[in-house]
Amino acid sequence: MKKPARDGASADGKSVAAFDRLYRDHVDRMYRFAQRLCGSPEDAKDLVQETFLSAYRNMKDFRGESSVSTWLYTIAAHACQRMRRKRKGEPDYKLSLDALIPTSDGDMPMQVPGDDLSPEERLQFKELRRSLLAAVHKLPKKYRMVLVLRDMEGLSAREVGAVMGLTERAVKSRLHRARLFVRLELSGPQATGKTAAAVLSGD
Amino acid sequence: MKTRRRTPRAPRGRSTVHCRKILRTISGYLDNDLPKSACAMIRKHLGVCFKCERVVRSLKRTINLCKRADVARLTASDKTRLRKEILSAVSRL
Repeated sequence: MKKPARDGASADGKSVAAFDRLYRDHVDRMYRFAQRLCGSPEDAKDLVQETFLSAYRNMKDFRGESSVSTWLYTIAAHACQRMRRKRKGEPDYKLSLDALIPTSDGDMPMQVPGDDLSPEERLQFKELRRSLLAAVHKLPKKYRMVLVLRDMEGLSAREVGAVMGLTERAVKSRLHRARLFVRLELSGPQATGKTAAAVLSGD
Repeated sequence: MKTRRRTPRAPRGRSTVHCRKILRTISGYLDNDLPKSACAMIRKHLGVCFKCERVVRSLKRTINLCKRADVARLTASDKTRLRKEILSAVSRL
């Protein structure tokens, strides 16, 4: 007989079968989320591991009050915060809306192409996508999490609030700042006269 | 003599107070989260303010880009390895 773990989880056949179903159905989604959040594939794998380990331990407590994916996003969000606390030098900033609202002309130099792409457009889109992920990664974490969950993972504002323990109003406020920040990063200083980095440092 | 009221224009390279007020709520507008009257006011402003219209256009593009920005997938061998590591961590508890 398998010895039960400290918190009640044990690697018996029934639990492993349930875990395998959970893992098979959601690992791709969680890895995508983790990569968008962490930036690097290695950090993303660590986060996925932490998330599913925690999910395994807490499977018996899942009451189905939210969807399984929302439950996993919540676990991943907490795991991400724990992992960040362990690291040094990741300060958090508050984004000022006044500083992010443009005071002069601003536009993105590159267009978002449609589905029917020429090889040249495909390359351009790839560059733009890389710039986008870099811009998202520059966001302070509390804004990044909201943007990734809402605009990239497609959760509703209410679901993002449930994952992060925020009101819908707070989610929308953070989301607006995050979008403006990313827009500013993608626009470049030649178009706006300021950079998102300058906004962060208060220049 | 008939006097014509002119719409206040933003000084070159600057936004008016009205522009800034509009841009503070523009995500709500793009997400269809605002009341009809507020949407109508914003639409009216965008029709006459080229600067705000450009900002809104680029913000919309940013959101669309986020929605379409895919990332690499886990390989089958990575999935197998991660599963093994998780289950081995569980058995160590």
